[in-house]
Amino acid sequence: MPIFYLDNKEVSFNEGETILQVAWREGIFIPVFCFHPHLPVFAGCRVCLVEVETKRGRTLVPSCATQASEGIRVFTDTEKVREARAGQLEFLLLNHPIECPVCDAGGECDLQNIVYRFGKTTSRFFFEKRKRERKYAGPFLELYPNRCIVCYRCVSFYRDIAGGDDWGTLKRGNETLVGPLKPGPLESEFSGNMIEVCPLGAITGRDYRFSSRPWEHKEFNSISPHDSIGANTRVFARVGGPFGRGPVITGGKRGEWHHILRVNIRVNPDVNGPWIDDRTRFTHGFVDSRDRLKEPLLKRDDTLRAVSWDEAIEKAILGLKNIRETYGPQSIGMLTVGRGTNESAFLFAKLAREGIFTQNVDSRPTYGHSSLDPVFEILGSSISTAVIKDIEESDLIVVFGVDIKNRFPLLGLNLMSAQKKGSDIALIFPYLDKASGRWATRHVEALPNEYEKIAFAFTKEISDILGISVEIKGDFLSDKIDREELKDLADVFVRAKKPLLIFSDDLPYETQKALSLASVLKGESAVLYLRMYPNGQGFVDAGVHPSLLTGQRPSAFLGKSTLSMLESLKEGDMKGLILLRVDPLSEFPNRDLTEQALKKAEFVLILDSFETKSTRFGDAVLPLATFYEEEGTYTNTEGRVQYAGKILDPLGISRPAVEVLKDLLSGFDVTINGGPKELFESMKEENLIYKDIDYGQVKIKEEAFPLEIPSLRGIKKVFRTPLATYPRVKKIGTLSLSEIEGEGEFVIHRGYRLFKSRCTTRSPLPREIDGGVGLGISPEDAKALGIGRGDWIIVEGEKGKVRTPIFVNEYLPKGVLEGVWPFTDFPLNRFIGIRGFGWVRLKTTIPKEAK
Amino acid sequence: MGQAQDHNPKGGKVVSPLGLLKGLSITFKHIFVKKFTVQYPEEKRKLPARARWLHVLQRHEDGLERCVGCMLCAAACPTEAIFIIAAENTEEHRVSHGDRYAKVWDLDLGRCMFCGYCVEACPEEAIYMSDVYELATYKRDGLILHKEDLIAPPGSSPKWAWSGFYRKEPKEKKPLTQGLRHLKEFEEYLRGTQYGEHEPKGKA
Amino acid sequence: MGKPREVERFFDENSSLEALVRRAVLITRLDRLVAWSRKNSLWPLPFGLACCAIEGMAAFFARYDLARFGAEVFRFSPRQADLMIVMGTVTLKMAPVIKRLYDQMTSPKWVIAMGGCAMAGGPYNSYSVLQGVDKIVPVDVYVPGCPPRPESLIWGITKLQEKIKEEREEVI
Repeated sequence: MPIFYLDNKEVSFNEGETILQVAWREGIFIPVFCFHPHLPVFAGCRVCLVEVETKRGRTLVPSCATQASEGIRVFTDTEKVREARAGQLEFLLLNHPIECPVCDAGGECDLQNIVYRFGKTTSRFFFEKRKRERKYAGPFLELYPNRCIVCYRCVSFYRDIAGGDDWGTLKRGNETLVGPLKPGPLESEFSGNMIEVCPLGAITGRDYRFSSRPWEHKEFNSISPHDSIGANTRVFARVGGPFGRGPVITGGKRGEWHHILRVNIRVNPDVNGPWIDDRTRFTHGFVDSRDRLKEPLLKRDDTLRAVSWDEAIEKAILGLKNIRETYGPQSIGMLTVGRGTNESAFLFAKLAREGIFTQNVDSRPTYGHSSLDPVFEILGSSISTAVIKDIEESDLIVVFGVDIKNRFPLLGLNLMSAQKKGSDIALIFPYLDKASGRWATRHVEALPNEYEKIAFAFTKEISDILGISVEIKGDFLSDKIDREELKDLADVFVRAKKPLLIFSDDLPYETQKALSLASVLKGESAVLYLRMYPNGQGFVDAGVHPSLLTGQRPSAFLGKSTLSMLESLKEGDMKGLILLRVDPLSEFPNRDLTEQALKKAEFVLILDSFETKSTRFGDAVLPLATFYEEEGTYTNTEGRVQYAGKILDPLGISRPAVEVLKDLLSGFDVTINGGPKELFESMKEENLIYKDIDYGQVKIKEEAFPLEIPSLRGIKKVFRTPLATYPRVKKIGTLSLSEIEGEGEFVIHRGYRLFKSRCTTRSPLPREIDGGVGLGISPEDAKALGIGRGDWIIVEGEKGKVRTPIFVNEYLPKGVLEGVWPFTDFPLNRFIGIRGFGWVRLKTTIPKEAK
Repeated sequence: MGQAQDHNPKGGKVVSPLGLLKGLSITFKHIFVKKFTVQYPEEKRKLPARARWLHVLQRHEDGLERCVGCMLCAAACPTEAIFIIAAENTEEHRVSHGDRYAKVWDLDLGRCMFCGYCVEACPEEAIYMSDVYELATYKRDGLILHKEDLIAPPGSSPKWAWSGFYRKEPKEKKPLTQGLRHLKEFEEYLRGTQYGEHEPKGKA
Repeated sequence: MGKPREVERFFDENSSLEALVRRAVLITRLDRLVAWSRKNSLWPLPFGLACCAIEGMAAFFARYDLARFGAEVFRFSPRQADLMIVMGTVTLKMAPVIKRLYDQMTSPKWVIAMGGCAMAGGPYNSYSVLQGVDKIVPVDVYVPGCPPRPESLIWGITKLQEKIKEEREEVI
């Protein structure tokens, strides 16, 4: 290993390392402003100057940009260096208003810290400081150009990492102005990272604005509750009494001294790397949402009335037992989606299979056509075969039918970095929007009703090229599909060294199966199977699945899938229903079926944190704590088990799901004892997938950052989370496509918006970011109908009519409509069938005045 | 008085009454000495100038609050007796100069040790410690004083928190002319150099 | 011109028996009398634990002279005291003693918590300090200060007297 001399000490370094990196590793602190370990080097601030002895004498060089070389002598703390740094800091402070008392960054500001340690005590600048007004920088950020020291970190992040182009610098020299280049909200879904990238308080977040000081709040390790990527976060919360300790005058009520202040990055190189998305960062207000259920409710005389926990649990058990005794255990269905901890999923499955003795339990997002699991059948386990980091190493990536920007925004960063490395990325989706345009190199336009056909045709092409005969039935080679393009894609897929297929679990059953098969046919390829719901993977692993038992063991007895459960309820074959954290009315397709099923059910037990559209159908409603109020483990979409702790006390008398399920189980003579750790251990005994996972490691496994960074906010530690081990026995299955329903004027499908989901709509967020309510329509259709954003329209289909406002989605192709999920306010899921689309007519437009 | 020391309570020598009288004379003399007791509720002693009792949140001359809600007093407080929630000033609702003001400024007198660190920490001279010491209450909750209880009435003139003890005497602000003088020198300096032909930017 | 008007009125008002009674006899309810006598003869049990006790002593002696409020009879036996003044830091080790002494006091009894430590633990957020004496005994008056001035304590005692004055209980 080559060596050089750092402050007369011999240090070794790796080829290509900079002096700064070596010095930090050796524990010598060199101040920096423009340098950030995850950003390109800029070398503009010049506070990292060090003295290097060369043949021509000693000279000052910026250490962040100077590579170490054999035998050089570097001095980091000489008179000359100190003088240079102090002078540089004096220059930086020339126009910096010393308004630390009103600045949000006060107390965690790099400029404060570094000037305190290296700067001068007085300024010789007696002229008036340059003054600039505060500037609007999107719905989440507040920009103070006055405080900016023009380190270019934010610009570097926004343009190079996030791929945005509406943030940058204006003017030059002393007048340089960093900020948004366009009026209106920022385009990028990663803009919040700039708050943490900024070394001082020039960019501050609206949610945290003025609310606290770094020494006041507590820090918790948590993960993102919004998508199945499970980005690691640090949550800052003010907990406890108003005076820190002592008697809590207000009796532990929620309020300004017991709430979450902000969510920051926690570096986990395997999952989110050093960045998080805006949804994760800014959506934390749902814990105090107005429609939280605060106390148990029981239905009496057709109205829900608040009761005590004991009474509610007793009545819930009694209701279920009555149904079981009268109609048999299989007449009770248990429905959920992947929301909540692994432990609660485990107990939910236990309640089904060991408490009530019903096999009808499902947690999959769409109805599915079958109780079987498409991915399990082909890939041997219902799990991705790739991990998130594999995106960056794949040379061909096919993203099939997933709106990456609005559903899994963090994958956008991985895809962008893959594209920069030269990967070929194909997007199969109805449209290619600006966010996908940052990484997609190919685009196959696929209307929502063609997903199955395209998937089948794609698999067929692959099997043809590879010469493997696969039984594929069905009429999928329709004329509308561009077969040449698919053939080309299949050709590239087969020739690629390490291709990757990305699709999600809310696609129709056949599509998932065909894509899994495509991956099996091409042996080197991998699948990134994205779960629609945050802990969808954990729920399937725990056995909340009609055909998979705990630990993904295939069940001998097939239970009913969600669709057949709802149909049986409608027909009257089933009588009881338990809903855990799901609002089937507004989340599931085929609203009319769901509504009739809920109406017909004799006993509906709802366990939920929020009051939803379905709550009124409940005979007993048990309030649960939300994500930030309960502790437990979560499994992300690649099978990584992560821990999130309890931060706040549950609102009202709501309780964690695990506690409630334990109570329900005790009514069925199943006793579960012990705290979270014991529960996890007992889960491991049954769920062999998690058998190698150490609870202590899940809870906290931190490593020091590769560079010992004394100053930079938030990135001093690196966290890692363990991967569960899944059995992988691949096999080539058969495909058959049932008939896909006909044609119509417009095809409507589920669309997603970043800030539209169960938790985000319940969080107080700025109004500018709504991005559309109701029905999305293509610009051509809007023009033809003579309507625009904010107009109302009547959508007519076979099932009836729905009146809804519209917005124009500029990327939608002609003839395609987009209903924004979840369908809380406008029941557009009435038209959307179990395959995720439906046919409608647009009947009448209502002028703006009439609404 | 040596005999008194030999006194035996169980009978013995008789004590001379002289000693008793001598002692009582001092007692009687005090009948004529000026009364020492402070008749407290009616008569109050004047406290020293730097007495530190109940806090007062001061106002600027224009009636706006001095406090900007920076939470430094809460940070300096050794007993964690101060609790602040800051909020943003708007054009319609302006409470202090600058962006931020204290929406909530609570003081837990039950914890406060009247050390004055908050006054020290305040960058805005917003806190002043008055000489109100009659603070007893019946309820523990009553000891939590809010901003509304502590804020000085509008129109009151701000006082220097204290000076000369922890804090140096408030320096007189540099008169503006001094800065201008420097500017002039700077200008002259510029004129003397090769760049002198150019007019320097800024106000001349 | 006759007699001056004031003199006339004096004779008018005092001529009846009623007026005589009104002038010469004090009528009150028994409970009020009891409360009045209780308030003016408080017998404190000074529970000096720390520096507040020094200020307490100052309040008891000549300069501030608590005797002016009838509260000069200090009793170090709880059986004879009816007002416990907790002055200073209550450690967890001392807390049972305070509790026991309070229990030994005869009813009616009152407690004054003097100073930050007795009220809420003061600056000592420590494993060894009780965070407020009101966690073990009911406190009637809290006197803030670190330590409070003697005046503050006297103010507290007068507040307590007001409270006692208003107290009503069946007296037989």
